[in-house]
Amino acid sequence: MLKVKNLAVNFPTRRGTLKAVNDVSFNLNDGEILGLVGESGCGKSMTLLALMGLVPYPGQTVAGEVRFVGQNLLELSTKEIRRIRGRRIAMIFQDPLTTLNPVFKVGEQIAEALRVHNMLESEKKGLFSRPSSGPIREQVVRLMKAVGIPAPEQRLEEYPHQFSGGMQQRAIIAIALSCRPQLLLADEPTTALDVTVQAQILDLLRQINQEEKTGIILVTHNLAVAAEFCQRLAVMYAGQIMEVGAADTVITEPLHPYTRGLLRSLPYLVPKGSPLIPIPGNVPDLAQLSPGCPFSPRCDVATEICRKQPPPWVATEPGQAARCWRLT
Amino acid sequence: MTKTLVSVKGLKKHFPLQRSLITKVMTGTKDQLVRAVDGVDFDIHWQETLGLVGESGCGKTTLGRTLVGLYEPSAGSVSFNGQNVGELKRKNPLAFYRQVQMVFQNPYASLNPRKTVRDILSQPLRARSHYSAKKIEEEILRLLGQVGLSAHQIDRYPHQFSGGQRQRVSIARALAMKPSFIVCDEPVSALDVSVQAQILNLLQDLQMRYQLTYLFISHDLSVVRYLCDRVAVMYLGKIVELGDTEAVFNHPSHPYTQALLSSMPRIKRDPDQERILLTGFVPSPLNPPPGCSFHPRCFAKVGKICEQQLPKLVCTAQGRSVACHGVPVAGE
Repeated sequence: MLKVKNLAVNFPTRRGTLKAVNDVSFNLNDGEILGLVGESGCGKSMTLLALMGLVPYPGQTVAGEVRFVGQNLLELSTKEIRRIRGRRIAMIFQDPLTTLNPVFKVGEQIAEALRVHNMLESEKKGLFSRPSSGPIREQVVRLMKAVGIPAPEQRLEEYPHQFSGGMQQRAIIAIALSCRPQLLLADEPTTALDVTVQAQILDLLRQINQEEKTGIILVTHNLAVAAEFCQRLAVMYAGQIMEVGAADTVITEPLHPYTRGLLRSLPYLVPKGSPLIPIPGNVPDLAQLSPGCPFSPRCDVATEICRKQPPPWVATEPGQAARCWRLT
Repeated sequence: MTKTLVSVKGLKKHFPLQRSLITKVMTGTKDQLVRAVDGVDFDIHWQETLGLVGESGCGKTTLGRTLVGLYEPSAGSVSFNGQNVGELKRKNPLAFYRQVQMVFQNPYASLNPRKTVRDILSQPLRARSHYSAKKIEEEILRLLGQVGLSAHQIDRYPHQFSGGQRQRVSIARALAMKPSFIVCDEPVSALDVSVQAQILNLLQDLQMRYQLTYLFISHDLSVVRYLCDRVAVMYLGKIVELGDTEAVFNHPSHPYTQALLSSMPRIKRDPDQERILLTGFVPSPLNPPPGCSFHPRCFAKVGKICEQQLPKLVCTAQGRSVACHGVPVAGE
C-alpha cells in the first residue's frame, strides 16, 4: 500500500547540514500495523511528517520516493496533496490538547473535516453552516459514537477543555476517521495518556484496523506498546532505520546491536536485583555524524569498518533485516 | 523486624479552589476543596524502596511533596525517625533537610539555568557545615564522581548537559546533604530508555553504598516493579493497595490494581491473560464519589456497601493491605 524509498530530510544549521531522516525505506502492506520505534530525536516523527509533505521550515525533503497506491506523494502539487492529506491519509498527533482548537466546539471540529473534504455532497455550503442539524450532525454523532465518546449528542456542543485527555484523543481519532482514510499515521498517540486510558485508545485503534482494514503506522518510543500493538517493527536511530522485521522476532531475536541494547536497558525483562545494562554514551549530534555506522561510537561490537563505511542492509530471512556490518 | 523510618498517619492535603466573588454570586457556588491527598496511612521501612504508583492526578506528587515538608499537611501527621516532621521543621529545619531530600521529575526545570554545577552543589554543602573553600571543592568533585560526571564539567551550566546528565546533577545535589531518605518524583520519566537505565542503576548503587531509603514515585509500572521492594497504589488521593512488589504484581487484590496492571503494555504478553478495560474516567478530586471512590468504575462491586461506606485500608495477608469491601480481611 505504501512504499517509502530512500527518503531523506535535511535541516540546514549553522553547524552544517542536519540529517534528520537519512535514507529511510520501508513498506506498509494493506491493513498492516507498522511500528516505528526509537529514542527522542531519532527522526521517527519527522519521517511521518515527510510522508505527508509537512516538513517544517527550514527542513527539506531532499531525496526519496513515497508511493501511496501508485502515486509518488513527493511529486504532487500542494493542491493535489491536500486532497490526499486528511482524506486518504490521516494523522493523529501526540498531544491532544494542542491538536484541537480550544475556541471551537468539538462537534464543529469534526464537522469541519467532513466539510473540507466534501464528504457529504448534499450539505449546503456556507460560511456559517453549523453542525446543529442535518446529515453532517448525524455523521458527527455517528463518528463520536464509533470512537466511544459517551452521550455524543451533548458532548459535540462542548469545548475541548471540557474533555478529559482520553476523550480528546478519541475526538481526534474521530476527526482522523471522518473521511475513512486508508492509512492512519499515529505519532505517539498515547504518550500523554495514563496506562488505563492508553489501553483503551490502543484497543480502539486495533478495532479500527480490523474493521476498516486501515493501515496504521505507529510512532512510539515505548517498545512495549510497539511490541504489543504492531505486526512489524522498524527500529530507528540517528535518522536511519537500523532494523526491520516481524514484531515478535525483533523483540526476541534482535539482529542489530542497538535493538539489543535498547531491549537490555528495559526494566521489563531484567530480573530484580541484577543491574540493567544501559547503552553507554549519548545519542550523536545529527549534524556531525561519523561516516560509518551512526551507532558505532556506542556499539560494543564495533570494528574498524563500522566507523569508516556505512553498513549495508543484510537480510537474515524474508522480512527480517538489519543494517550492520557484523551480520555480513 | 524491619525498622520504620517514615510513618504517615491519616495524612490529608487539601487545596482550596478559590472562585472570584462574581462567580460565587452568579452561580451560587462556594469555595471548594481539591482533595489531592485524602487520608493515607503507611510506613516506609529503613533502607527500602517504596514505590508509589497511580494515574496522573491521583495525588502521588502531592503526597511526596508533603513528606519532604514542601507542603504543610491539612490534617494528619508525618513522623520521621519517630519525630513529628512539622515540629522538627519548626525547631531545626536544617537538621530535617539534612535527612530528607528530593529529586524532581523534570531536570530541565529543577536546576537554575544561571548557575554552574559548582554553584548548584556548593549551596547545600555550605548549608550543611562551615567548610573551607578547598573542602567544598573536594566535596563537589567527590559528588560528581559518585553520580558519574567528570571533574572538568564542574563549571558548566545546566544547558550544556543532556537530560540524563542533568538528572545526575539533581541527584548529586540531593546527596550533598548526606540524607537518609530521598523522595524521587518520577526521576526517569523525562529520559529516554537507554539513559533511564543508567539513572536506575545509579540510584541502586547509591542506595547500597549509603543505605538510602527511597520513596519512588512513578507512573511507569515496569520501572517500579524492577526497582521497588514494596509498592503502594494510589487512586484519587487514597492508597488502595500496599504490599510487596512481586506479590502485588503477581496477585493484585484490589480491582483497581488489577485493571491498572492488566493495562500495562508488555513486551511478551501471556496470551491467556485477559485485559481488563476500565470504562469511564477518574472522577474529579473536587467531588469524589461517596463510599469507595473507585465504585463507579469497579467491575467487582459487592453491593450497596461500596457506594455508601468508605473501605478502610486493612491487612488482608502477610504484609499486604487493601482498601476494598470485596477482599476478605486476614483472620476472618
